[in-house]
Amino acid sequence: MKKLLFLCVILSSLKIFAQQGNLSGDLMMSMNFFQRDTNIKAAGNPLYDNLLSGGEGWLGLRYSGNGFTGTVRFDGFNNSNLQKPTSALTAAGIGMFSLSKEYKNMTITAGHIYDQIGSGIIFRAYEDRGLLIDNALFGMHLKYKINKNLTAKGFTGQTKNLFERFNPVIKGANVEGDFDLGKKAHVTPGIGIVNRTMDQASMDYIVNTINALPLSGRFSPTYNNFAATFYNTLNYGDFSWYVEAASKSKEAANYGTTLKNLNGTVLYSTLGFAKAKWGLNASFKRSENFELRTSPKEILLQGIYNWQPIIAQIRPQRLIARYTPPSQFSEIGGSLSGLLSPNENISINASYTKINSLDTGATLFREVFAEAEIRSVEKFIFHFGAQYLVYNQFIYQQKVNKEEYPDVNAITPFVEVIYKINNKKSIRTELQYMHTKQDYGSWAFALIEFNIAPKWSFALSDMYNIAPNKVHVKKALHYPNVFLARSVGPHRFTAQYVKQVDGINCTGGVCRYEPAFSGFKLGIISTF
Amino acid sequence: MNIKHRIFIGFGILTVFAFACVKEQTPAGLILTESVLFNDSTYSIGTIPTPQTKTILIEEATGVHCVNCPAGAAEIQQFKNQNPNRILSVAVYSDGFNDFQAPSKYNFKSQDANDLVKYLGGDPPKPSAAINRSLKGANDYFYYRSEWSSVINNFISQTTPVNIDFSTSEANNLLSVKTKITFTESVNTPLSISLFLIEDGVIDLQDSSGKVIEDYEHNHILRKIITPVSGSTFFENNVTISKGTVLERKFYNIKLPINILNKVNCKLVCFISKVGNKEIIHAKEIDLL
Repeated sequence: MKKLLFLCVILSSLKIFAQQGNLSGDLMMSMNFFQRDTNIKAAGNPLYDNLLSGGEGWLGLRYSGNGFTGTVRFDGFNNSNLQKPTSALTAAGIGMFSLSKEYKNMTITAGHIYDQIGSGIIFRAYEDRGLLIDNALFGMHLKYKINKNLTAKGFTGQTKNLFERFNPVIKGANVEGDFDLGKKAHVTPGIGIVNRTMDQASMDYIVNTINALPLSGRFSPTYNNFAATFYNTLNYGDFSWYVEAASKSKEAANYGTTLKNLNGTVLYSTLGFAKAKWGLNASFKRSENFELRTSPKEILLQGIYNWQPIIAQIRPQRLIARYTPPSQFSEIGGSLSGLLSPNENISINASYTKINSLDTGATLFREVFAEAEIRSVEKFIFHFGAQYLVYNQFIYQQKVNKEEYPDVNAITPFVEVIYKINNKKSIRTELQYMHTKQDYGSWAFALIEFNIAPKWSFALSDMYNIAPNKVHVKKALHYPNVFLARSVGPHRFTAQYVKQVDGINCTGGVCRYEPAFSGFKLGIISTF
Repeated sequence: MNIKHRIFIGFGILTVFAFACVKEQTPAGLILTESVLFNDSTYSIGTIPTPQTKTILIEEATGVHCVNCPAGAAEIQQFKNQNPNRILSVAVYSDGFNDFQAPSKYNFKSQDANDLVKYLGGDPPKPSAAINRSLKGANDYFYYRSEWSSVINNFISQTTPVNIDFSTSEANNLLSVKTKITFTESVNTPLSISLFLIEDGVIDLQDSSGKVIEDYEHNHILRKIITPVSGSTFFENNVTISKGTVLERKFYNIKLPINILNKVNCKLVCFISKVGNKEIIHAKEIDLL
């Protein structure tokens, strides 16, 4: 009740202030109707068996003027499947608010803070609604521009946990520079440090868990964990080089089914070289025991206050996206890609990615990928390519039995054709085929989409388990999708009928397992 | 060196010092050494004794205010009757469904019970049972009633590579336990030995479906875990424990807990489990006195 009153006060205040500044906002809502389907295992939980519908929504308002910025967001979940896809979440309240004032080179922010240090390896507070990640830091944040080349910031607070907060306290500091080195070179170095101090309840959990370990595995845990990072971007002519090295002190960390006292390191780097008609990119990452949580009591996506860049590229193709590799606790990997664009009508891209486990040396992920886009035929765009991958399903999807879940070896050719009927109308088709003997077996995917810009979009697709692996699936099944979108000014309405196979859903390198979905989805996105 | 570089380097030095200066005291309650005194004697024998028949240990999470628990206990007793001398059980009264309130006479809860369920994946819905600590899911060892029968059947036909023989002596509420573990087959995994003290025949209130049983007989109540919850490890540096190896471990100076009502009704359960996945490979039970 207090939170709702607080919202009213904020909104009233914003209305008054709006006459002097700028008031903007956004709305996002979605509604699911769960249609029970035992064939694809979309059943056996309250959503499909009893509740039958659910949804979630976010309404954000932002006022800015005279150096002041106030933001408030209402979050509502009614029998939502977003937090845990097999159970309903019902809760509502102020999802975030923040008050910020910029004055004489100092920016002061209080409330829910979204920010990161470097690429996020030691600290990143961000929101990803697709996986219901919202680990904003609730506290204070100061940013001071020392001079035109240097900026310092410091922050302290607790990590958000839906409408509550995790008890451990986080504080950090960061200095970033921005310097020219001669006429051609430019560097943006940075240093950051983050300290997490555990609460007593979390320490009690750790102590009890350690007391249950064999004597040889026991250790003295610490309340405080420190992580530090050094990073730099160097731009020199056509080169761009980013490097970040991070380290964290020893702390109690989940390792398999036990706790271990582990310190950790990450070395991450990307190197790019771009000319007018071609370019090369390389990336490398070595991470060892690196995960930063509020407490090892938290599991899965809970309580994580950092983020690690991923080496593998996230592909938009429906079938290829089934096997996207998330960052691991300990891994070493690299990728190399090249882009060739001899003229404006042709572009060719090829890449190779390799990721191994740092602990065991086991193969985690391999990808050989090539694609081309041809625009030389009038009114047509042809996009085609193929991927070969090796994906360690046993590790990435945390399966119990390696023999039952061997590495997935798959070859996936795909083609996409866009035909522009006129300036407004276009037809897009996609065909993909994934050949594999592992997991669920081979898949075929077809899509046809008709767009009338900027108002209408219709799409019809089907994913078919064309050669099922009988170890895991009994028979070949269709997973159709019928989609309709209508845009009216700043409002976009969507409706779709979906049958979606269970699998790993990844966004930005963060992944979770999601069971099959069957039913209708409605959505609204609006900005003002 | 200009001011920019000084600030940058100064912050870097501060970062290094922050790492170097942190020294914390050991958290309260942490146990880093063995909680029970013992001494070992090991040797090999040429003549291998007859292997004992494998015994299954059921760790039953139960509660005074759990209405389905009497039916659960009865079902376990039925399994025992169907498989004489093949199944042992321990009733674990952890926090859930065990709020102590009048007119109950006794508080069956214990810190050891809470530590045990935590060790086995957390306080489960009741009645649930860990059966030979076979893994059900990720760090989850407790099975629902409907699953008990099939899990027990999986173990009944198995054999064990160890023989357990043990005896006790008690004086002035101090207990000594002599254990002898004989390997009748080679074993390639680290093992640990555990000792549980349990008590039978305590008459007290018990909630049941639709009624309260005022004179319910509570049996196999976990009173004390003598060894560390995870067991007392042995041969930690040996990758393989050869057939014919014998370990004699004598535990001594064990204080009997004050919550025991009648020593005559107490029993001692001894079992051997794998350090890695916690699976129990054999168990035995004797009277305390």
